[in-house]
Amino acid sequence: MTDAAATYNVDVFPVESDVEDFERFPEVMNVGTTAPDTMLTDLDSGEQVSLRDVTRSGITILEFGSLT
Amino acid sequence: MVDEYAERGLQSHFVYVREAHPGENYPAHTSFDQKMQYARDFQKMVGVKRPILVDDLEGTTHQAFGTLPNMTYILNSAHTVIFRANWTDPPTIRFALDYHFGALDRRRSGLRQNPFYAEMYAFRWVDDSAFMEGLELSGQKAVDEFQKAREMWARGEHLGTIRNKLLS
Repeated sequence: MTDAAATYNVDVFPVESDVEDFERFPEVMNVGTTAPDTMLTDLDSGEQVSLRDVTRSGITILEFGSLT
Repeated sequence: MVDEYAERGLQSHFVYVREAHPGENYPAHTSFDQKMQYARDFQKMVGVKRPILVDDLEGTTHQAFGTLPNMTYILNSAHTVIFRANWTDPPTIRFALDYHFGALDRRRSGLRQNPFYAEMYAFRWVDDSAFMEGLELSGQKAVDEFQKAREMWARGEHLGTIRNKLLS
């Protein structure tokens, strides 16, 4: 695992960094801006997909979350 | 909600990110295969029908969009952000979609409109019992950590400072 992955995947509920992220949110990618084109893995197919290719076909809701 | 606007091209995807409340049963990801397996468990347990897109182990997409555990964004076909919320709340998403598609309808009917920028604070309904079930699924560690956080918020620390500011 890379250092970046170890830092990101914290094994505790991130109470303190959470509040920093909530306070930073208004400054991140506001409405009217172009979203970045990142790569994600489609769970069913296992294929890599471009987020830009996903949104090309219409209005797209992106909900972020996890099992826990 | 998505079915209602499907004819107009609306689609919905779930972006699987890091575990917000890692516990004994679902500790933090240490490999991408493990993250994919957790995403499969989530798909099965919750009965998710939408496509699930799994972020990489470094959280590249998650961090680009703000790193919060349960955000919602709506992007148009030009890949432009037209709505975003730092918490997922179905009534708020419904409000945004009705507003957006309503504006498109009014434009088609000939009404002259100019876009403008707006912000608002919203209030979400809290379902404690469902949330606690999720924590218990993760493990006692997740339950204990959240209880400690809740006590801090009650004292007005961390997220409690934001809540107190908005509810004043």
